[in-house]
Amino acid sequence: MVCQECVFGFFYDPVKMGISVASLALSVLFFVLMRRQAEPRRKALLIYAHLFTLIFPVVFYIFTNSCIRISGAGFCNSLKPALTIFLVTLLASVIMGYLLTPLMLRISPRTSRVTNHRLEGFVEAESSKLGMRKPSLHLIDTAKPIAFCVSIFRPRIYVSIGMADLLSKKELEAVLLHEVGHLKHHSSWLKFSTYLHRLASPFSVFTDFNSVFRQAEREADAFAVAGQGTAKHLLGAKRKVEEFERCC
Amino acid sequence: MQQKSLSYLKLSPLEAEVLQCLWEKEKMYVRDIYNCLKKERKVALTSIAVILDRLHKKGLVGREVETSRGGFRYLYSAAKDQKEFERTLVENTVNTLISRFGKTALSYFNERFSR
Repeated sequence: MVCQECVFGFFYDPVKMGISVASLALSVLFFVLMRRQAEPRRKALLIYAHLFTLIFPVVFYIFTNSCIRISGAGFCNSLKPALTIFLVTLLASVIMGYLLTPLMLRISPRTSRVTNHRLEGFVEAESSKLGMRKPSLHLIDTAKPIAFCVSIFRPRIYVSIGMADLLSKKELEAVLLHEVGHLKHHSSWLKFSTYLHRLASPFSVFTDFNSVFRQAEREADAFAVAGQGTAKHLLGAKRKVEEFERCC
Repeated sequence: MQQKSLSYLKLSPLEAEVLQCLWEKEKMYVRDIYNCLKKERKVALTSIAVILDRLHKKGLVGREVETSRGGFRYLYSAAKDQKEFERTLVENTVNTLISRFGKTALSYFNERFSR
């Protein structure tokens, strides 16, 4: 009986339940707004607002519920440790994605920063035209044609040596412009936010994330094409990357 | 002709041709190897890059990163010259036969070399 009161007391308290229901209602509202929002940065912010208000009742429950263990009965409130594990996992994902992944990329022996290079100057010139923070350019020691960007802490563009081996000068510039386009549209932030959304929110089943990613790719492509005044080089680069993946 | 002579190396025809090109010149870029082979057969630059990566993973070719103001790329070279490579191959084959067939293999070699 004592155990039941301890576990379910929270749900009979009108103030606590009122706060929790209001938080969940806000979460639904943020979700609806997020689905309608097209601008990537605002979309990502609405994802975080949705997640915060969705998770708030869980945190509220954990912190206002004092019972953990009753002797002889094992874990009286198994809901509390389960929710705590869920929150810790979520927090670990955020730390992994936000802090460790960029850090690991930075300290990896297979990556090195490009300095005093024509391409670094190219990236600098293109980002300064947009009034963006200058991204640093990094090489990845692999023959696979890879390029991506990270915008956490400091914008960085990674490109593999394999990519440089395969592409012509103009094609490589198109790829770099595509990545600058991603940075401009905050695509990596949006990608990480949608990953978290998928992990933590049951509402994610109602969202078509692939269309979000396709839209981000289209915007980055459009930026590269506008920058070069032709789609020829970007298409050439894409064709070669696809050929490499399909090859032999 | 060369391709035929390299078929026993358990390499694909294109892998053998790439290796042959590298044996002829000491160090080459992907594009150099592509230019070397495209005269003889229809081949794509991407295929050469894939084959070189595969040979690198097999330990048959080495590569170093060359960064210059104009670009950055891999400079490939054969890990062993042709004779050394063939010698290693023969050694590995003989060792495998001896470890698998023991005395039978030894007596065969003895018989074969006394001819």
